[in-house]
Amino acid sequence: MAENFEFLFKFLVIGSAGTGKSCLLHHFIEKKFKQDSSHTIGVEFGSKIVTIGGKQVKLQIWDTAGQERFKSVTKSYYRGAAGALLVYDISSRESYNAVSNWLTDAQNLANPNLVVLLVGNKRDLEEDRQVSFLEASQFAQENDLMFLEASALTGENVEEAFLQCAKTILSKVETGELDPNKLGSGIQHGETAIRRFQRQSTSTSVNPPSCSGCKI
Amino acid sequence: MDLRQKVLDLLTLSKEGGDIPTSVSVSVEEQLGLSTADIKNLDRDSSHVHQNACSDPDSQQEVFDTIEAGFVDENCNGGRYQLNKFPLVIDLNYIRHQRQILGIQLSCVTNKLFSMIHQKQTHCADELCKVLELQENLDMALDTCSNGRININQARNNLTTASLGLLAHYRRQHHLIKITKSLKTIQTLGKMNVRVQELLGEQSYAAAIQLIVEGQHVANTYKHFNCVAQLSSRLQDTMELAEEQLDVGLSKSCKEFDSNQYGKLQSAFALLGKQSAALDQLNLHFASGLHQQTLSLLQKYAELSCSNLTSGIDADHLKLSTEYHKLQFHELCKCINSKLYVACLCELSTCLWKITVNYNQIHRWHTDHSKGKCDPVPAALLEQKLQHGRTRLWQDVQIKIRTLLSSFDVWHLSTDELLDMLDIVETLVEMGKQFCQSNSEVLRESVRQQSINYFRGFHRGKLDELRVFLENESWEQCPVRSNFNVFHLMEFRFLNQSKLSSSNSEAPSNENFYLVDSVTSPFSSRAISPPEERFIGSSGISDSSYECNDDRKIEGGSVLPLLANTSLSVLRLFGRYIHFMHLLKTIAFDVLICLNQLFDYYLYAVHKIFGTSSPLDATSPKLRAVLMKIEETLISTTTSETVGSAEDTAAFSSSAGDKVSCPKVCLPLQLDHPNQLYGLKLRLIAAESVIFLARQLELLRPNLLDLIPPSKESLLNQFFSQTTSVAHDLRVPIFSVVAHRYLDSEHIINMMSRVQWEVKEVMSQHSSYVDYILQVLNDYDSSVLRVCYPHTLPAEIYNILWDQILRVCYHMLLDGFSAVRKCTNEGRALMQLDLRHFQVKVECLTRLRPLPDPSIVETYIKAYYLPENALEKWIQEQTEYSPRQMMNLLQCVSQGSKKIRLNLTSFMEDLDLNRR
Repeated sequence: MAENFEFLFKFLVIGSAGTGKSCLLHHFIEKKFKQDSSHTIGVEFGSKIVTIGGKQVKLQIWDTAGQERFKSVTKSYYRGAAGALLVYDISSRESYNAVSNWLTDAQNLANPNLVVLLVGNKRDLEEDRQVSFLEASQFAQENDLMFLEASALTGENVEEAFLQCAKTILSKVETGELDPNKLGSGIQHGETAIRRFQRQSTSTSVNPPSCSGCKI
Repeated sequence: MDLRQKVLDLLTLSKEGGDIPTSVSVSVEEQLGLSTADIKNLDRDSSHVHQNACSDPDSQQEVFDTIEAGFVDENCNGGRYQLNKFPLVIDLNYIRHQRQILGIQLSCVTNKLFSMIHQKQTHCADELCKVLELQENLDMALDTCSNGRININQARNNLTTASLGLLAHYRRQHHLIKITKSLKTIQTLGKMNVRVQELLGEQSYAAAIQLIVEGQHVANTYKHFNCVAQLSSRLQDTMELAEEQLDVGLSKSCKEFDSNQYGKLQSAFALLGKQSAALDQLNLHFASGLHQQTLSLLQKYAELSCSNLTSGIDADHLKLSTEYHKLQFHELCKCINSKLYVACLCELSTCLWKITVNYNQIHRWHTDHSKGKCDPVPAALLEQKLQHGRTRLWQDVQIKIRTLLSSFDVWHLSTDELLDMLDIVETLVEMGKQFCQSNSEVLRESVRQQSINYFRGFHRGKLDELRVFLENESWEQCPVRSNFNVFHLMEFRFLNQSKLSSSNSEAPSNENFYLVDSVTSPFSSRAISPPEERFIGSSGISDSSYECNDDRKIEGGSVLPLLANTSLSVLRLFGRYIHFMHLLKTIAFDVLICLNQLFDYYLYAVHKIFGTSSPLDATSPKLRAVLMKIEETLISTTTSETVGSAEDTAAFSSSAGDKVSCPKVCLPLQLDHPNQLYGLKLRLIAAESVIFLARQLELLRPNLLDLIPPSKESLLNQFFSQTTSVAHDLRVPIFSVVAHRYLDSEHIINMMSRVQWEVKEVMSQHSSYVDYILQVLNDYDSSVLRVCYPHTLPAEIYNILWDQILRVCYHMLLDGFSAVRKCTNEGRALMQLDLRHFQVKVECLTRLRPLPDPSIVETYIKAYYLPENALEKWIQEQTEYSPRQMMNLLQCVSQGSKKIRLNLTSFMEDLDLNRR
């Protein structure tokens, strides 16, 4: 399988248990909602090649367990991540309250240039909403985070979330704010920038997406 | 002269009058001077001669030859001729002579004449008889004629002309009636065409055919009419039309069987006497119908795929879509989008199933109807044809499915889709068994091939995924319950389920696909079946069996299984692979090999990350062999730049494509940090996770054995004996690094070198460096505990850690002692004291029992006391010590005497030379 990409970005998906992190990832990769989802154990990952600004970027997304007892495991993955999706559930006040803790952890453990995007998931549950858009977006503004609300069920804003995060990282790389050569930056140069021209790829996902734990 | 003239005249006269005047003759006689008597004599003489001449045939012939032509001439008067011949001067002799000759001739001719008359006489008589008979017949004919005339005359008189005319009229009337009847029949014959069309329209084929056959019959009777000839040709046309209609009806039956309709068709064919031909035709229709239907189905899907790809905007593609109609089946197969693939396969199978159902119904119709009747066509022949048709039809079905299967790159499918595909094919195979007892080898083989293709792709992907996991692994312990094992994982749940449902699963396999009222496709029911029963991608651990209490209890007794995130992923992969083995029984062993590769790769990676910097002797030969083998078969040696291209070109095609590159750790694991005991905790988790995996594989062994063919069992056992058993061997190289790096041997050796070994009295106090070492070891113990907290260190590892560090200590002590060049007996005693003290104190420090053998140090120290001869022998026997250590020992031994030193040194050098 061809691996044509210019950059590899390491992404994290973090947030409290049951906020739908795995479902977001699953929808991003498989383009459909995962019905029978259960708690993630430890860390899983999925990867997908996306085109941003004409560049092929491979996203290596680490989907962490939200449960407290896995924190020791998941924390070790914070290092060397370039971007993080911090997920809460708009129908769960509790999950939103935990956001600041998650943020602190991420900022402490990951590299300081970590790009964080706050995602209010389960937007489809409008009637059970406990966290208003305004409140969350204010929080995001205060902490210099990007923010959007998405739904892994309908797929609304799912791709946008990942793409927007990747876009920000890419622009930081291009402005020199982030150095891909630095160890632990979470960014790697693709191995096959040259071969990109030999193989024409028509759709955004040339490769059959592979996602451990999403399939089967 | 006169005489001659006279004779001539006489002759003429005699001819005219018939009478010869005797007087003349007398005168002649007188004239001639001959008497009649003489002449008579002459005659007599000549007759004598005649007698003689005529008696024998030869002479007779001669005589005939001498007859002059003049006599034979028809108009000739012989006498006159003869007379003319005479010379003018009559010479008697001459005449006499002539007379003689003529006499002879006459008698000969007479003779001949008589004999010939005699010969022909019987013929003459016969002819005469015939003439008489003819005459008689003529007489009879004459009689009949005259009788007839008499009768006719009578009739003319008796009957009137009028009555005869009446008779003639009657006869004509009779004729005319017949003609009008015929004409009426012909008229209906003309109308018959219309009626036949109507009947065909109403699909009463049999009636139509009946009508046509009757019509033809009638037409045959009236074929002497011109118009009928035309009509009958029209009837022939109608017949052909009807047969076409029948054909159309047959082809409809292929698509949509209606027993009523089919009955009509068959009775029509029976009328035509074409039942057997109809079956051949039917089989052809099935073949072409199958072709047509599958083709249009594929076209539909190809168009769908196309519009899916382009979202219906791209004009080029729209244009392309019209071209699908020109494509062949196999070309169309290649156009199917991967997303639609399973749906397409499903619909294709349903379509094919419908066709076979129709076939089956037709067959059943025939068997049902052949019972009652005794057909002109033997039922056995029909049955044979139908059976043959079944096999051929199924062959066609298989080929269609195979074409679709093989034209697709299976690795584009998700596992669910693959399983759907397998399910469909499985159902088809079962169907084939029911349909025509076929083993469906074609299907099985192609599905096996596709499974292998798929699994190869899957495995490659998983190996790569495993590499990424390993590269990013932080070797943190993943919290699981203390009694956790693979069977708690969701991925292994199917094992229990399959056991539970094994009894149930028998039922659906007996499902009859050809029940009379089977309306729903066996393929459509599949889609509805609850996903839980199938291989669906939930990756969690079933909460009920897995969940450990939220406040993580670490009770003293229970040791939590040590495993990292990656190990958990590997276990899950085991589950999936075993599930694959379960589902793809045909390639179960290939899958098992891949499963082993997962373990191999994990083992190799752990060794690569943690074990490579260990001293050589720490790796057991068995482990080394296993690692070498793994490296050969699994690890691609290409550098990072070319790995990508190798993957590109060789993916799935060669064995090179099945190799993975060695994991390169992305993040610093702090294996060099003394504070963390050189990553002891990570090492602990890494090493133990390998062992945990090996143990889980052992647990799975019975399951694996169940799934592979018995012939391969030995290979599985080989894997277990070779690979999993070395998992424990991995601990030593991984942990020995810690021990080796923990001791600062240089510092200690330095301390030892500062000790005064040339003491003159036996010391009672051990040297200070021993205390230092003991202190270091004490710290070692506590740091091990600290670093490993909160886990309890498994005893094996504790032992390894202590064993290793003590071995290091011994070597260090040996190095320290062997560095001593000058030493007294008392100094030697101090060495012994130090070692003894070390031994005793260490025993208190560690729970390791027994301690590693300190003989290497002890022997070295004690060799000092050996007498010269024994020392020589000792030197010969030892291989553990380096030449430098030996030399230094000799230095100490020979301190008193130079001679001994020289002796021993030369001995050493000899030995050294010999050993080389």
